[in-house]
Amino acid sequence: MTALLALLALGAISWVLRITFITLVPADRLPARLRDGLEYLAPAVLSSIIAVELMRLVHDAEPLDLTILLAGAATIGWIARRTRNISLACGLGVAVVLILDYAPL
Amino acid sequence: MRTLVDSRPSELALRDTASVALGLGAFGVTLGVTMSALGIGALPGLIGAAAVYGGSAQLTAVTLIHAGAAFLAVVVSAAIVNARMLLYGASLSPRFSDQPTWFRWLAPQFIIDQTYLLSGARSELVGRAFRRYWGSLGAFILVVWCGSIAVGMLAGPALPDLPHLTFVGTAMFLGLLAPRLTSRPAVTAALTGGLVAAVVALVRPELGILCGAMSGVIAGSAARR
Repeated sequence: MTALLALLALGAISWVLRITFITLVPADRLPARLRDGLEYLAPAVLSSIIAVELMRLVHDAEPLDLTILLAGAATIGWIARRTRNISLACGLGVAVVLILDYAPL
Repeated sequence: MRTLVDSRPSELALRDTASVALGLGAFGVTLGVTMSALGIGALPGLIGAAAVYGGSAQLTAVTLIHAGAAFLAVVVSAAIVNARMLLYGASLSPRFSDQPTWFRWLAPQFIIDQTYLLSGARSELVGRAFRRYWGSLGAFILVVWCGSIAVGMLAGPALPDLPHLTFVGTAMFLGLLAPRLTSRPAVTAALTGGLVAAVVALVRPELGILCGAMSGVIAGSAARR
């Protein structure tokens, strides 16, 4: 019951966060410099998510796993840059996971 | 009779959902397995998935609940993880400004990393077309998200052990990031954001993404001048 209530409360707060600058305080009232800066929000937030996820994955990783993770991430980034294909990036991610978790290394 | 104009936004949404389904599904299954292992029931897990609609925040919440943290600490800590939705809302605001009131109140519930990023590549969609695209995209991704969490919760014990499965989600974000690194400010924003997020996450994991995103935006803006 506590878990359900906590998740519902979190859902309500998350909804308020989502509508704040759309419905409650439209973003055109924000300072122009801040609005202009949002142009770079996508690369900034994406690299932040990737960094936090990689930090979590490499935290207790063995040297070989660490090498595979970082080399895999670099390869996927390079291929995604060339192909612009998100599905391919996900597929390569699956390959890296299978190597890490199943290959007899 | 359905016209091409009516159907196209939904088809685009379906195509965009398919492109991220693998990464999103891998994270959802991992979250479902984790919630099952932590003793979170299927009902709170699935209702929470739709209500919170953010994997990292929900994972933070259920981990803290399992650790016996106080109600307020659980909600506040997890809300901080979802605080980047404020920035997404600010960035998406112009696209919602000409929409009906009901849409501006309800449709932002669909704002998550994937909908924000995918819709950014569909800037040609405005008015009714955007409404149809956004509604379809949010609904399709919600189905993938909740479905994968349900699979993880219900079939968790029968699934093979894949401790690195969340890397598929990381690969999805790499696939979304790499094509955006086309200018010096964008590269600066990404490098700064990633570095700050990594350092902050060492100390306060729940603040990593928010601090990284804000630092990256500031650095990107500075590099443009």
